Amino acid sequence: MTQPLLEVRSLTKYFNVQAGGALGFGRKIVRAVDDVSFTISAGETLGLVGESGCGKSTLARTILFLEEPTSGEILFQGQPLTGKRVLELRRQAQIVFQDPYSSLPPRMKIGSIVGDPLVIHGLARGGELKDRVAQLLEDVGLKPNTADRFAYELSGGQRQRVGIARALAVQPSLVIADESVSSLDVSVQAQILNLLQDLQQRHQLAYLFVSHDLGVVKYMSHRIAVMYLGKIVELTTTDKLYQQPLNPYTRALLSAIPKMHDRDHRRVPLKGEPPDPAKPPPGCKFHPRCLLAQELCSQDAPELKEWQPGHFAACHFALDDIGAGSAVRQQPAKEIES
Amino acid sequence: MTELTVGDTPKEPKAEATASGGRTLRRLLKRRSFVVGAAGLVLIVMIAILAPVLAGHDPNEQDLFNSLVPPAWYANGVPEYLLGTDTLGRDVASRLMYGARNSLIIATCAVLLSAVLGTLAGLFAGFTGGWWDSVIMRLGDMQLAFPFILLAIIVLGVITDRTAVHLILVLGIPGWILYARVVRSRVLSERDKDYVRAAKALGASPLRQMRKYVLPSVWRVVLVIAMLDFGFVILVEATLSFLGFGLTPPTPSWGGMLADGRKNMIIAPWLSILPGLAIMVTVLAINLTADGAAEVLDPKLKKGMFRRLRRAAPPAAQTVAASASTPRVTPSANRDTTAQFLEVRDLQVEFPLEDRTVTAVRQVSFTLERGKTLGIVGESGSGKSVTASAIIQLIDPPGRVTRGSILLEGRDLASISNKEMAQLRGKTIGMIFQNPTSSLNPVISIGAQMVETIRQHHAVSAVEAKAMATRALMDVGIGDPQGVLTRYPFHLSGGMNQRVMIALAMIAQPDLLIADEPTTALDVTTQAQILEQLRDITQERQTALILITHDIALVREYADSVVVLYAGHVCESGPVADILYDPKHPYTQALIESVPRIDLEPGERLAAIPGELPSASDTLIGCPFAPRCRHAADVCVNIEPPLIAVGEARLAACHLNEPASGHPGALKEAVRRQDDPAAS
Repeated sequence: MTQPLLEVRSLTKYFNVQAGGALGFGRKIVRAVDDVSFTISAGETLGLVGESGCGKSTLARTILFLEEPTSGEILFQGQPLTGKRVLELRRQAQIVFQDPYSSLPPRMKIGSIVGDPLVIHGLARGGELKDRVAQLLEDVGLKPNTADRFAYELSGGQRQRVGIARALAVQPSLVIADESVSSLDVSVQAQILNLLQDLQQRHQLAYLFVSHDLGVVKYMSHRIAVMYLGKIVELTTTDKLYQQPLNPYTRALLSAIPKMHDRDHRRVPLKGEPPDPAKPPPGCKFHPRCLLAQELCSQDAPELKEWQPGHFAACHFALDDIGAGSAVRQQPAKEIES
Repeated sequence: MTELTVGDTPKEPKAEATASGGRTLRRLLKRRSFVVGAAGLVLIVMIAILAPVLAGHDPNEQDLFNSLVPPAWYANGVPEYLLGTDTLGRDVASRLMYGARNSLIIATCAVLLSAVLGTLAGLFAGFTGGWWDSVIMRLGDMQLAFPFILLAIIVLGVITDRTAVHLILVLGIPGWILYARVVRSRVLSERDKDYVRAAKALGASPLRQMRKYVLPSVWRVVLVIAMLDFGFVILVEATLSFLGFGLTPPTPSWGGMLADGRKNMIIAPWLSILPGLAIMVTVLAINLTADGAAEVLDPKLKKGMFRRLRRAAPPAAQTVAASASTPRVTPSANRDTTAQFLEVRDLQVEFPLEDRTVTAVRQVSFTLERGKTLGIVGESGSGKSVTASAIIQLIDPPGRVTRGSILLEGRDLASISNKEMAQLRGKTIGMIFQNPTSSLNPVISIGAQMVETIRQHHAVSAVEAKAMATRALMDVGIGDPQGVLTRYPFHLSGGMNQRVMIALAMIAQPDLLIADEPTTALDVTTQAQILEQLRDITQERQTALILITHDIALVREYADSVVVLYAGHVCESGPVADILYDPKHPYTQALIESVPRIDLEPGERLAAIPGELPSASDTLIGCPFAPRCRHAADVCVNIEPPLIAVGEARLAACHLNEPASGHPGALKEAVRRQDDPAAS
């Protein structure tokens, strides 16, 4: 296999949070990203799904060194990234944020927002800069005269297009889309998703596509990683994930989505609420809510293991049926989506 | 390439509309306080600048023969000395003018000095954070703990020959902390915004991030503080001069003149009154200017108090007029209304603004029975939340219901008194909002909040109320109600807080519950749990639920009937199953197709709706969806389609459904049906 574009090895990011007590008493550590490894090949989209607080956005930011990793390695094109190579990374990997309102500087014209990366990296100046900006705006479906506007004059969808143009300015090979469509209206969201797909084809981009929306992730991704409380609990191709999810959490997640055409589908019920990330349960972090949980799960955290070729899951009982023995559901996992 | 080009429809500028210079100036000129203040200030500055031309005398020229000459309007005054002379026979008018010069120069330079120092320190402290931040801010605290005027007197006291430079330094340097604090806090809030993160990701150096990205968002607040500070510095300068620590005499200064005049207060009152007036007028002009500018440059919402406005005019006349002028079929209005629990008829809500009126929703009609759920689906600006607010009569001012009726068991909510409405809210109509955490008081425990709300509506003891709260929490699936009651909202997850909100809303056992995007802020797994609970409650207690959402799939799963709104217009309404399987409006269809469902085939491309949502300021003549509609014809752009019956309990507003509309698609359909009677 050829060398992956991005390789993340055992990446961790811990945060110290003050938990009530003054003067540093009661400090807690939140393992926002806990020993995460994966790869992204050139031109590929890796979807990263999980619910709020699972650490997916922190992971995205840590990869770009917007947060300093606590430990672990990030390799870009086979080379480990260290302090000095970070600026180089910033030409190769870019990010598109969630909120189209806070992600654009309010007092800058669109032209200089999109052009600034070119200036920073000394890629263009003067008339050439103007042409490149116009080209970039056109690339994302905006009129070149948008350059003279301010962000507040644009709609959410248009702003998100500007955010994409800014990310593309340095001609990156990897773009991290951190919930980039979640705050858009449905009718605009589809436009942006299609735009991202077109751009991927046109510029051979690789995406790390972070989202909580399983429908959106499915539409965009070749492979998908599911995160729960800082850990990847399942990683496989899109087809396999939706047809035969192995981790009980993934199964619950998939069954919770409201369906357009299957009103009476069976739901895999989840017990309780997501735990406090600062006090995760021992063993498998999902076991208090899991229907398959047995004693082993509360003692021993499962490793991400390849259960089937190319299908990784972190669960001691990945191949067991949910509800075998209980009345919840008798069908095999395969039929969840039927 | 089929990628559509967007970008030439400017959106209504919102709160940030201050960025363009001309606009800011126009808004400034609308404020009377600013105009008066600025005019006064300009006049004073002009006088100060032109002092050498305007002044009839050298300010220090003594004329002992003409000492204490009163101003010209006194009986023995002379025109040569318009404002009289002082004990040494110096012309008061000239001295005031040169005094203004000194005062303004010193104050301007001092303010500039403080602003620059403070902004730099604030930027640096905010941006670097950590150790540097602590040191800089503690230094500022220390300085603030020491009386500033005392410090100034001590420093100026040791200088024998005080020039303007000394005063500028003494007045200017200590002022930094004022700016530094505000700038730092602004930088701290800006630094965590995604656009600064984006700049970092692009490789911008910290200096560039600060200069190019953060500073432009911060300088306005500096400007406002500087203007307010300017008045203060003029006062302090005058005080110092008055105390004898100002410019070394005989250099004229207002404070010094005031001090001199004080000695002759009885025989020559003008000597103290005139410089006093000068100080007062100048500071007043500055403050008026600063206040006016602050409101425009740094708008911290100046919203009116909440006031419920009842419907403008008697409903009967209007409804008749409306149905007479537009021939449309509204089956709901024609049917027997007694069976309906809630009936909204031809609802229209308008927001009168300064220069125009925005119609947030128009012609919204629907009915809802007990035990059923109605979904209201729409995107931003569709009017779905306004519709909900109209039902519970909590429309943000200045919005009001201008037409139509909201009949709850036959009572029109749009026209009953505020007192009656207040009794209905909570008891008969409950509401759940999108963001549970902001709907709960963060400093009061869940238990205390629930007990208080219960006792507002029910005459029960605190103990009974607590028991009721416990039951209510159990009803919404909270396993440990006792534990939850003792906790605070921030202890709980979003899903938990939303359950508490639902429990609170359900305690009064409202007949109608309105849930405005109740699960948008929550995770999918929690969303499923909460909506299932809401559905169970509605069915068990035979109450009615209005579910407002942007997610058409949610409606599919949890609602019985649905109203699809677009830009304040009803596109379509009717039973969920019918509408989602056989939409009669292209928008509904497009909405269904543009959601990336997980049952989408691999490689299948999403049918995106081209274009952007219309903004509230757009005036549309025809169908609001026409600019984005793939079926749009001439008739759609020119004539608004009426809402007509398109099936059992179904309404839709699209020319495609009327054979006589002149829409080519509708004609074709009509012909097809004629040829093939089985199709209809």
